[in-house]
Amino acid sequence: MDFLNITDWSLLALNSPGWGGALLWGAVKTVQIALGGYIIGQIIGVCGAMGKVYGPPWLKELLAIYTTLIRAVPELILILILFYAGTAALNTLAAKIGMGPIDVNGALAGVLVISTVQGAYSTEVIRAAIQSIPSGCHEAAAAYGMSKWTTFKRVTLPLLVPRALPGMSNLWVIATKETALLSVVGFSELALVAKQAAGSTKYYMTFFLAACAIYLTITLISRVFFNQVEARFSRGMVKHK
Amino acid sequence: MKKTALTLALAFGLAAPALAQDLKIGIDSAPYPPMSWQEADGSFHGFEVELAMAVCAAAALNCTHEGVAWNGIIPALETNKIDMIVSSMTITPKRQEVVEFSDPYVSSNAIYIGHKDFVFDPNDPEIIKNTRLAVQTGTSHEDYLTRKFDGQVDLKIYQAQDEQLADLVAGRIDVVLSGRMGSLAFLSSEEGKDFKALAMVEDETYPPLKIGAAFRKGDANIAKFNEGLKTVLQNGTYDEIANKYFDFDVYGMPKP
Amino acid sequence: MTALALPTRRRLRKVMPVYRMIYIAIGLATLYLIVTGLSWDWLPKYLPKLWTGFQISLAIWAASVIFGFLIALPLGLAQVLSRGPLRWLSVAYCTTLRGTPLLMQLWLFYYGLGAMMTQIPGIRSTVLWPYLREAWPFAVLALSLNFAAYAGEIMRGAFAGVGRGEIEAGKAFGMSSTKVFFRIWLPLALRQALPTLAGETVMQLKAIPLVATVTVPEMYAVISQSRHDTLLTYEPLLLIAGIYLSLTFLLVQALAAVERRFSLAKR
Repeated sequence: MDFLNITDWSLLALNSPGWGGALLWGAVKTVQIALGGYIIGQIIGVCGAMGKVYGPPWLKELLAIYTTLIRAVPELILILILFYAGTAALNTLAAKIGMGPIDVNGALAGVLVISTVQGAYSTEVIRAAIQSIPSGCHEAAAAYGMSKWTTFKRVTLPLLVPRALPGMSNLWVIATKETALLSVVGFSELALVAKQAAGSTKYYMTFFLAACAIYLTITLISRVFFNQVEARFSRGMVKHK
Repeated sequence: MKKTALTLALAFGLAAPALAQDLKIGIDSAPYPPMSWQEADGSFHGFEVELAMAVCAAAALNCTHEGVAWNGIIPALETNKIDMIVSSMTITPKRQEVVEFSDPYVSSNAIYIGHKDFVFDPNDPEIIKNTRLAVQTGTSHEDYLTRKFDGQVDLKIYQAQDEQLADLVAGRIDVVLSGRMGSLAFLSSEEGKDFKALAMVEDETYPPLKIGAAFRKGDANIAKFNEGLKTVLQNGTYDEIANKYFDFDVYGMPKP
Repeated sequence: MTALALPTRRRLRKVMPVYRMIYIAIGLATLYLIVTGLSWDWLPKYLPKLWTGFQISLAIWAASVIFGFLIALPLGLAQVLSRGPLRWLSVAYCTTLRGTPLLMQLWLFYYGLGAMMTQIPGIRSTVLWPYLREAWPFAVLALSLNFAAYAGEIMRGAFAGVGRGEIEAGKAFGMSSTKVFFRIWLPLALRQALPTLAGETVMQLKAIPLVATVTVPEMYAVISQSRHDTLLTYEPLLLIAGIYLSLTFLLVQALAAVERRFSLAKR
């Protein structure tokens, strides 16, 4: 075996028996799951934050229980519990409405798990953003006689988005990295493909480095994207250094 | 919260009602040559993969393979993620409490693998104490070692066969207890040339292994699978596949 | 009688509104169902192992937080003080380690780096070999380097956030640069960074189960083993979730107490 064990780059060739194509396909899976989980997670986050700020006390407390529980348990363990319990629950639910067993593929279970976790963090990020809006803005809007909806559209939202974006872009990076945990339940995404490739060829360093490089690329591209979005939405905001 | 996710996921078409006759064969996603491994293009290969497909064909079952993490393979079966396990799973009384096995399709032994110069005797407590012993998690071997050496030795527990073999080559562990079938590819490979089977398990509490396909309890497909297995054994398909991978009798039982 | 009871009841309502009672009831009922409805007879057998695993988990957590923090200080400082290559190295380090999954880094260090190192001729006869054979040094290394990347970013902000005036005042008193750093800059930066750092240490605690994938026999590894032995899907997982829930709760409380002790506003 080669001394440094990282020199055989032909293993990364795109076509089988090279594993490059498989790695890229794994990366696509990773982005898909992360994106699905992220979008649903953000929807949960928006609803959750609304409930936490404007909702009745019982809802606030319920949401507090949700965010606290989810954020206090290690992601790996949550993923394992939700992966099995979630599938079982989904099947029971499907049986109740007479659909027969659902073919819960790994992708669905993955999205479900990531979005549940993301939702909890997102709720907190967006809640903090809403609460950081000076109350004077709302009072001014009320003084102008704006309706609740107009206030939300014209005042709250434009002030909210730039405040929430840094946290949300951070959550996206977390989502992409969290998908790696799905490899533990055998879902074939980037991390698992890298592990399989490494195990089959014994070139552990090569494939783990390659996978890290792909993850890093995803993160860097996302960062450029989020910076653009942030710049777009923070026009007219005072820049703090 | 979860319901929102469910509705949305359904709407996005991530979940589809399962086709009744499609059977998903769960298989360890980590390589376990020559029994099973996954190529870079995602396809499954190996003796068990080919055999399972032949049995399915003989039993007129529609089967596909699905990679699952070994340490969650039984929960995956219980929660309907897969419909059967054909992944070198030894038939043990404990497993039979939660799953139902088909007739065995392979006989194997548990062997201790180590460097050819390493002095090892599983029945010598002095040697055992100074041996770094490794085993794959969730296997009957792990079960046996914890039973036999409880408190005497710190076992190193690995997630996959390839990882413990890599660490064996690296010298981080001295001896691995593993199934004979799943070790053949390593022992005959270039990196495994300095390693050999140091000892075989000879213990009445751990008889030679019978490997079968695991199903959920009461699954009607077990009978079909057994029928199919019988057919491939009788019509020579079994030997044809086995001869591609082994030069000895892997069935190890009188043929039906 | 009624005149007395009313305010008491109202106060009670405030602490214990109906919905909260319902939640507590649901929580207790779930707990009751988990304890009585699921099987726990396997637990006593694993308690000693679980205790050892628990200690290993905590030790790895503490070691990685301490080492990680020590690496984070120069990382943060380099980004504030230097304009040249040191700064870029430090930025690149933080970006890379924050942009890749910890699980991947663990595998890279244990299987990648570890397997590579063991091929160095003669390494098996060095004094380091007994440690290189083990998994925990690699786990601690990976976790520390990862923690350092996050903490380094936090310390950069904190170092930059300390006012020039304070530092100049120190210099005016004739303090040496080292003295200014240890007496003024670092304490002020730390005070500012404390809440975020505290959050990061909680995150680090939740990352510990990952080291089970590189054969460290910590708490999750024991749980995982018991799952295989007992073939139970949920019970061991629920148990470790409960343990982490309590651990995180305790840690958050402890950190909040530390923060209260050191925060500026409360003085």
